[in-house]
Amino acid sequence: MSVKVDIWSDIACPWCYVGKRRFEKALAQYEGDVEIEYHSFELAPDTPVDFKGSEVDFLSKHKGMPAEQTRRMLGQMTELAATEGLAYDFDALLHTNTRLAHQVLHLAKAHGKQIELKERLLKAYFEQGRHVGRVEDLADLAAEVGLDRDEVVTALTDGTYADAVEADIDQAMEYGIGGVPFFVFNGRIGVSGAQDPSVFVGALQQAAGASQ
Amino acid sequence: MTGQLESGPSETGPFEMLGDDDAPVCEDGVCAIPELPKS
Repeated sequence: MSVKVDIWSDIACPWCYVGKRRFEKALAQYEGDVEIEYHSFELAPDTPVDFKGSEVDFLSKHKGMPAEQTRRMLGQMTELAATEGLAYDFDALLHTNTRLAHQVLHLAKAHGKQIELKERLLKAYFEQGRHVGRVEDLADLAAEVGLDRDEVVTALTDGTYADAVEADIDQAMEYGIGGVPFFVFNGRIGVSGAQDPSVFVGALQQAAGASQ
Repeated sequence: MTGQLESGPSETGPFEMLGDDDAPVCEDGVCAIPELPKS
């Protein structure tokens, strides 16, 4: 029996990328069929598209954290991500608003490319210092996973998937989801955070067993 | 973005929750501080 996994996450979310890797490890250990759908969640909707400054600046000025504490913490996050095979580069990272990125992910879902684009956007943001908040940059990244560039530009300009993003965020609020990543298995079992792969395997097995 | 220490919620909506309550999440624009593996 197939298991449907709904995942709420943001692009600008270091634990979402780590959680994605840990979930993928679980998928590699699980033999059943799994259907995955990503849902939109905005951690900082007030972030400007073109934030002028570094990640340290953002956290120090906007969140009130001392710069030295921020640097130390980002260093720890980078080290931990490396243990999952991720090369976070917070010096190169371009802080931005992720609302448009979520809209492209909905377009990608309509074309069966959502998982590919999710990975591409996370990699672009955390490892490559690419901008993931502007129409043209998002269109370039979407084209890399096989989406039609012109269609992406038109959809983002017209706000074709703006309501879909809003619906995901509303659903998260209705469920009481306050943090991401958040995984829902067959609409019944919840897993919050970047858990150990064994937790995800257990959730998959439990969800599959319950649906038989 | 990473920020102040936040931990995973233990109760969420209509779901049967599995896993560690303290698994790291990002919430309200800030994220759990990572605990590095012991070498």
